[in-house]
Amino acid sequence: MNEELQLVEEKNSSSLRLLSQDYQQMSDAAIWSAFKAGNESAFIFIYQKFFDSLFEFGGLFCRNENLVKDAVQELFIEIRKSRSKLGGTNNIKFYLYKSLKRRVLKEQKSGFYKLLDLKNDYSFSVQFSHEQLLIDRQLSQEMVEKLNKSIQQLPPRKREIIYYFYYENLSYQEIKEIMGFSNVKSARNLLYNALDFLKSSLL
Amino acid sequence: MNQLTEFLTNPEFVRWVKNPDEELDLYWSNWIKANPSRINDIKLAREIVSGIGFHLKSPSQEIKDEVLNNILSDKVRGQNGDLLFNSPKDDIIHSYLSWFQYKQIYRVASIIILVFGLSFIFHSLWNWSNKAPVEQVVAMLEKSTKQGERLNCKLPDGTIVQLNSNSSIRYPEDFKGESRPVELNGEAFFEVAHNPLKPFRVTSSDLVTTALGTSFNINNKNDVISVALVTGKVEVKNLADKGRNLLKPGQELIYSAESRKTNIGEFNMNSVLAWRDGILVFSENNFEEVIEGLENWYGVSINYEGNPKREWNLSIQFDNASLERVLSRIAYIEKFNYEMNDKTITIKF
Repeated sequence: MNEELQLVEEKNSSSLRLLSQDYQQMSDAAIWSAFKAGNESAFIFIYQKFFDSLFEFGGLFCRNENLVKDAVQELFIEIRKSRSKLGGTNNIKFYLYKSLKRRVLKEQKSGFYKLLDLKNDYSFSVQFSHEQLLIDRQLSQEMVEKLNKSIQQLPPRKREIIYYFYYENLSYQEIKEIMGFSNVKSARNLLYNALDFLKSSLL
Repeated sequence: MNQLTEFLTNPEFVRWVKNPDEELDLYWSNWIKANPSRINDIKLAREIVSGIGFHLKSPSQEIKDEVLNNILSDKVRGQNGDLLFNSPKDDIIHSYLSWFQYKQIYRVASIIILVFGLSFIFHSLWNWSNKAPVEQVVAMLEKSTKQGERLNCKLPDGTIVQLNSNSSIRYPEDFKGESRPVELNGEAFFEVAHNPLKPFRVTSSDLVTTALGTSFNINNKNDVISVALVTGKVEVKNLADKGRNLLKPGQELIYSAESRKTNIGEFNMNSVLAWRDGILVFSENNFEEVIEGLENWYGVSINYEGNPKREWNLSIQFDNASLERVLSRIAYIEKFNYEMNDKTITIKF
C-alpha cells in the first residue's frame, strides 16, 4: 500500500518536473496568464523561481528575517487567492518586487514590529570590491578602498537606486514605479546624484 | 568624470556588463572601434559596475519549503496581525510581560539581531567575494595530439595555438562570456588575438595564465608547469597557493607541483620555442628526459637493457632531423648500441 502511494507520488513529481521545464521556455506574460487562469503548477513555478530573490530583496529593507518571511508568505497567499483579478505583467519579478516592498514597509509600521522600531532599518548594505584581474585594471587597490568607503556613506535612498540600477538592472521607468517617483526624470536625477560617491575617489 | 557618467547611467551599458549577449557584445565592440580613445573609460566603467555588490541574505531550503506549505494550506494568521506570538503558549507569556520587560526584551533582541547581523554580513561578504561568475553552458571543443604529432589550430577569437605532441586543449565553441577560457594539458604556444575586454585564460593544472593579447608558451608535463612569455604581459595565478605573478617578455615561471615551489627567471627563447619550428632541443637533459623527449617527438617507444654508465647531461639540437640521424648522434655521444624495430627501439648499454 505504502509502496503504491510512493509510486504515485513519484509519478506526480516527475510530471511536475516536466511541466516546470516547459515553463522555463515560456515568456513571463504566458506564465503569468497560465497562473491567472488557475494553473497551480504555474503558481508553484513562480514560487520556486522567485522566492529566493524576493526573500533577499525584502531583507534589504529590513533585517528581521521573520518579518520578511511573513511578508513574502502573505504576498504569495494574496496573489494566489485573487489571481483572476490581477492585472497582466510581462515582468513577474518586478511585479512581485513592487508588491513586496509595499508590504515590508507597511509591516514595519504596524503591529508588533512597530514596537521594535525597525523603520530605519533600511539597510541596502552595499560594498565595493575588486575581484578582477591584476593586469590591466584601471582601479588601484587604494581607489577601491576609497570607493568602498564612499559608497557605504551614501544615504539609503541612493543605495537603493544603485541596487535597482546596477544589481537588478532595472530601467528608469521601473525605478520610477518602484521608488514612487512622479516622473522618470526624478529617477535619473537621483542616480546622477548617487554617482557623487565616485567623485571623491576618482578625481 | 562626465564621460564616465555617460556609461554609468546607460542601462544598456550596465546590461552589457552584467548579462552580455551577442547583440550587446557586437554593439559595444563596434562602439569601441569607432571611439578607440574611450577604451580606458569603458574599462573603468566596467570595473565600477562589476565592483558594486550588496549583502544579501539567502533563505534556507527549510524556510522555502515551510513557506510554500503555509501558502498551500493557506494558513491564516491571527486577526490582530500578530506575527510572532501566534501560538497560545506565546500569548500567555505575552500577557505576563509588562512594558518595562518588553523594553528589556527589545534591547536583548537588538543585541542578538546585531550579532546575527554582523555574522551574516561577514558570511555574505565571504560568499559574495567567493561567488564564481555564472558560466553559460556552451559546447566545448577538444583538440589533441598523439606522440609524434604536432598541430596548429585557430580558436574562435582568432588566437593561434600550436600544440606540441602528446597534448590537448579544450575550449568553448564560442567565447561568449566575459573571458576566453581554455584548458591545456601538455605543451602549447599561444598567439593570443588582442581583445582587452575579454581576457584570455589558460588553465593548466594549478596554474591559470591570463593574457589580453600576447604570445607565450606553456609546458605542463610531469608535474612541472612552465609559462614562458614571448611578447606582451601575462598574469599567472596559482590555484594551489593563491600566488599571483606578472611576467615580462623573456621571463619564464616554473612551478613544481611536487615541491610546490615557484621560480621566475629568464629563459632561452631558442630552446623553449624551437619545437614550433621542428627543432628538437635537449639542454642539459638526463637520460630519462632524453628518452621521453624522443618518444614524444617521434611517436616511438624506447626500451633499454642495462643502465647508462654515467649521468647524462645532454645538450644538442636537431633541425628537422630523422629519428635515425638523431639516434646515431646520441649513441655516439653517450656510447650505446641500439636496435630499431618499426616503432620500437631498444637501447643496449
